[in-house]
Amino acid sequence: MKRKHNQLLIFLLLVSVRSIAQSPTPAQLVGTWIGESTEVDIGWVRPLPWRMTFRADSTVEIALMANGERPKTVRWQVKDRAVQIDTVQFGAAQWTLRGDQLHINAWQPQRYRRFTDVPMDSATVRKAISSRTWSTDSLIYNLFDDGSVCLKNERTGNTTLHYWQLVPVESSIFLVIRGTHENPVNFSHFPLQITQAGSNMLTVRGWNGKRWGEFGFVRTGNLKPDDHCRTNDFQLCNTFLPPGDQKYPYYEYKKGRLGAIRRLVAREFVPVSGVTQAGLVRFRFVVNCEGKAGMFEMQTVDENYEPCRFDTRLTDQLRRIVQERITEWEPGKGTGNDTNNTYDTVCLLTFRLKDGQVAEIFP
Amino acid sequence: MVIPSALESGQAKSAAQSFNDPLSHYAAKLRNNRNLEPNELHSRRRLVQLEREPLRPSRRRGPNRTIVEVRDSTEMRLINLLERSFHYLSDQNYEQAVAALEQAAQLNPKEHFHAARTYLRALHDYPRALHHLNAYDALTPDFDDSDGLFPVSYLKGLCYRNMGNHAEAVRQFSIGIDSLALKHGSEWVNYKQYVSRAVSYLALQQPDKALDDLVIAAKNCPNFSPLVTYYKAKAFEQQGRPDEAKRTYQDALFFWQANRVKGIGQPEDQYNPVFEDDIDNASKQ
Repeated sequence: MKRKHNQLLIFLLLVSVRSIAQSPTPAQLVGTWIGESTEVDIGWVRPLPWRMTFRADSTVEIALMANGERPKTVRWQVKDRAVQIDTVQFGAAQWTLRGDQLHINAWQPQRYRRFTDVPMDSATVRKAISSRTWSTDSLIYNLFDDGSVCLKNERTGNTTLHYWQLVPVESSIFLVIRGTHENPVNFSHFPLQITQAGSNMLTVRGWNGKRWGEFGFVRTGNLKPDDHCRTNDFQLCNTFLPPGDQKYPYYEYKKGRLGAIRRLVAREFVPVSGVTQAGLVRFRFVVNCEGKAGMFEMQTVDENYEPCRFDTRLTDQLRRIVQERITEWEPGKGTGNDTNNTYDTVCLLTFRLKDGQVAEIFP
Repeated sequence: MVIPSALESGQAKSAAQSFNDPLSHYAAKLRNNRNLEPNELHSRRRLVQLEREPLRPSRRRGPNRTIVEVRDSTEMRLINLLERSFHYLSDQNYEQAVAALEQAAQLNPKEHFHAARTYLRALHDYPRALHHLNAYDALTPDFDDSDGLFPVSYLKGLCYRNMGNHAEAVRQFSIGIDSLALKHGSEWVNYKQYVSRAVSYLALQQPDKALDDLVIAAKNCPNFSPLVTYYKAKAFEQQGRPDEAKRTYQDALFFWQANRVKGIGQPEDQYNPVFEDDIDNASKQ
């Protein structure tokens, strides 16, 4: 319970930074607001799976959009045009109402949408969507009957495992996808309000990461009882974590760390004669919380740190060694009191090349 | 270049705490604590802001919060460059970071040190690191500056060592060690400096001198050190004492594993990285 309360306070404090805008009147705030997104940093929008219900009796109910999460009810008031929720006060100019959209302008701006009830029957919706394959313009959803969902991105070919549930809000039903292969309850996706559920077409309303609106899901197949999600080998545990929140370069390799990598490269890298290029080949990748590496990127610069292209006979060898031969990573751990938890971690491995040979390897 | 008097006169601590004022916060950090963690500063929002906008002009606040008075555009530009370099470092975009630091060093020669450290630690570019260290050292020819932990001469020694010039490396390491040891006693010298000099002595086939340094290093090290013990074993090996070498390698391995139990899994010195299987392989030979 204490943890929940702390979560609520952190949530409120995150938005309690002064900014300039026009605040709404108390009457305009009354009602239910569904969280759309929060802009963590430039280019990084994270889902905001919260619901806030402001009541005229000066109570506000704040809840995570997930089944089994008990809402927290606290008091709210507007005083001198400033809004106070529980013990946190928001500046008068911090709230902006534009139509049915509520902006909380802060260092991490948050967007809420006024909730419009579309009555749906949960059992009917479940029956209509479960054990089906649904497609949007970018994703394929395999909604399994056991509550797992396989998301396949057709553009990248990436397939990831998550969990789905139908969350009631008043008479409406929201499709909430959250969790990862590693933890079934963390990192919610953008909640989608189901407005129509037919046998071949599903219409939802919500934020898809780029824009708000109604989207159609087309049924493209049925799932058999023995079907299961076949994910790629690599999946992030912290789906919506921006790079800055990932642990700072963490570097461990089970079999002897950097020393072992150096020996492996010395053993397997074949110098290319006649190549006089020099510079750095840097691999940036993520070791996820389970110790699997993926999302490899390669960057090459010359001796003056200008981007350049190296002979592919060099880079292909290095790419193969980094991606295929170095496999046993240890996941990054938290620091301080958090050493028992593991996290997705960005890692670097840099090769300094000289005359077609690896002169040095460092993180 | 005007160094803000408030920083010089001991208000740096409160400056570092004034997170709302980027000028004071970063400037104080930069000038007074060069071991700034890049993570502290990570925000794309801030970086984009720095790239798009010049810093705001000088601000002066009440006595408790007034820290930095930016007196001219050169200083504003300098702080902008330093901030950007830290953001790039935290993004692990080292090429952009050193480009910003090179420019910063042209505006303020003291920033040669920061550029040198980035070349040394992040890019392992020893000739460039040495160039900047020499430029920084030339500012105070009669004084061996320090980054708070190691003297500049030590960092220069590391550059020479990694460029294969062990004789010059020993000379540079000795400048840092001797200046402190003669004045206050060898127990005040960081043990890693003795280890580094010992590594160069070993490369010069002078195991006796290396062992002398490692004995002092072992005394100065607060815990049993696998690093010191490993190089002791190397020295025994060079002296032709294989039994002692083997026993000492085993000790080093034991200390490493003991550290692992304590949750220490990384080499104790990034400039002299010794790994578990380095020790293991050496002991088997």
